[in-house]
Parts: sequence; C-alpha cells; structure tokens
Amino acid sequence: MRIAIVEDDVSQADLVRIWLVGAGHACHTFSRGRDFMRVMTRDSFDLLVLDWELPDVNGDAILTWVRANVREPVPVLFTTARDAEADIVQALKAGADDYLVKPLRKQELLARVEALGRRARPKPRAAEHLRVGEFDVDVDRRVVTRNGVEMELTQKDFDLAVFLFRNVGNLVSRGHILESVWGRTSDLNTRTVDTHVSRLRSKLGLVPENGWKLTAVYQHGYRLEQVAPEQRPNGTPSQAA
Amino acid sequence: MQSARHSVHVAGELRDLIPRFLANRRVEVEQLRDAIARSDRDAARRIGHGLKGVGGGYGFDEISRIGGEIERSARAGGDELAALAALARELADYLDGVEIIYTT
Repeated sequence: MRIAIVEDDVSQADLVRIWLVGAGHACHTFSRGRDFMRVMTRDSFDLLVLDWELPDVNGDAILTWVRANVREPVPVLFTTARDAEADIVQALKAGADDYLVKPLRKQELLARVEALGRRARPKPRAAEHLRVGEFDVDVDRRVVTRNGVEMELTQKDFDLAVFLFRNVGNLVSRGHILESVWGRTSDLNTRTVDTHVSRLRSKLGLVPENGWKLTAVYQHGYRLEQVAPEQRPNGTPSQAA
Repeated sequence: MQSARHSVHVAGELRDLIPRFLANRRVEVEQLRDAIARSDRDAARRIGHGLKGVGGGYGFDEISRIGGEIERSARAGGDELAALAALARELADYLDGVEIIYTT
C-alpha cells in the first residue's frame, strides 16, 4: 500500500517507516500537519498513519479535515502515547478507523495496517476473479475479459487495469498509480502514467458510450467511474465487447 | 571503565537508526534541563510524552518509563522541578550506561 505517515518525532517516523517499508509498503513521511494537508489536496494514499500531537496542527484536526475534504474513504490509523479511554473515544469519533497506543509494537502495527487495507479494498484471492461491470479480471492468469471476450493487454496494462478496477470511484494521484503499478524505485515520471492510462482507455473502451468514464483530474490524477445507463450518450447499456 | 547497567536487545533491522535515536534522546535531555531552568512545565511534559511514546518501540522500555514519569511530574504541578531534574539525570545516566545487543 501507499501510506502517508504524519509524525513530527524523527525517531518515531524512522521506526514506523522501516517497519512498513520492510513489509512491502511505500511510505511518505510528513513532519508537519499543514505540509501533509497541502500534499493531500493533489495526492492520494491507501492509508494514513496519524500522530496526535504535532507542532502545527493536532492530529484530530487533520483527521476532521481529511474526512471533510477527501472524497475517498481513506483509512486512518491514529498513533499516540495518549492512552486514556476518553482520548481513544475522541479519536474514533473524529473519524479514525483504528487507534494504537505508543510505544508501538511492530507485529501489531503491521497486522492493523493490513486489516485496515483489507477492509478498505478487499482483494480477491489469487484464484478468484475481480468482477467490475462487464469486466472479469482473472488475477491468477492475468487475463481481462469483457463480456467473455479476452482483451489484449501488456503486463503493465494489466497491472494498471487491476489497480484502477480496485479503485473504481476513487480519485487516485499519478504518483499513487506510478508507485502501485511500476514500484517506488521506478525512475519513470508521471507522463508514463498518462500514456498508459490513455492506451488502456482505448484498449478497454473505458468511455461513456460503454458505461465508463476514466477522467483526468487537473493537477491530481485519474478517476475511473461507471456511468449509469440513462447518463450514457447513446442512452443504452453497453454492448461492446 | 564504567560497566553498563542496562542491556537492551534491539532488532538488527534498527541498527542504522540507533545512533540517531540515541543522539535525539541526548538532545532531549538538554531540552528538558532548559525547560526545568525556565520552569516550563508544558515543554517538560511534551518531552516526557515523546520519550514515553518512542522508547519502547525501539526496545528501550526504560526510556518510555522515564518519559512517563517526566510527563506525570510535569502535569502534577506544584514543586515538581526537583523531581524533573532528578529524572533528567536518570535519563542521562541511562543513556551513558546502556549496552545494546542487536538481535537478528
């Protein structure tokens, strides 16, 4: 997952980062709440790890801002040395999905992060298919079919399709797509994303006439959405194969 | 040569982080002493709160314990500055004497 860590204590941030990266996640660290909120207006993450006591904005205020301003239901894990029942209740009522009391324990942190990720974006088991509208994605065989007809996709096209189908309705940033499909160490830039998204739109016919919209959002990224039959240009459900 | 009074087992994956971790705690000892000199209990509380939260994650449970004591003393109000000064000394002594054993 692509995870944002908002934590002002350098040692704490180092610790969480090394544990999460070791578990295969891509992490972005912010030591100031306002820096994070500024980035969050044009970027996206699979999960947020929020400290409560920050020097500029408290974690609960950030949480409230995220819930008010970020359309996607990104899971939030609160971490704090506050352990009073009232504090835990306050964080959960403000919109946190889970709460961990510091000092953190590695295996517990990783297990809670995985659980939040599972809840937010259920993945099919390898042998299962991901079914989205008329598309059927066989994750194990790496095959996408539309109304039973196999689509011709490259390896990257397939990875990008799976990422977008798992995020239908969500606004995902170019950086998020790049890291999730090409990996954190990739030296490619976000134009690569634009090129591949454009190609995938054509290959899969992700256009309103077919009941899909794959929209570029200025200074942010892309959103894949299904279009209701009555909102399609031709007013009929998709028959495309 | 003074022998180590505390041995701490630290995960090997954290080896590269430990020098910065310990250096930051030493900075906090000085910041705590400054806060005590200014009778700034809120600054002392924040330092204690941070120590409490970070120590145990690295395996330094004693740092978390001392941090918790600092936070409690700073919150207690009254004439707690002497107690805070003693805790600052305790933390400094601990940092000077701790022996780290890396586990794989």
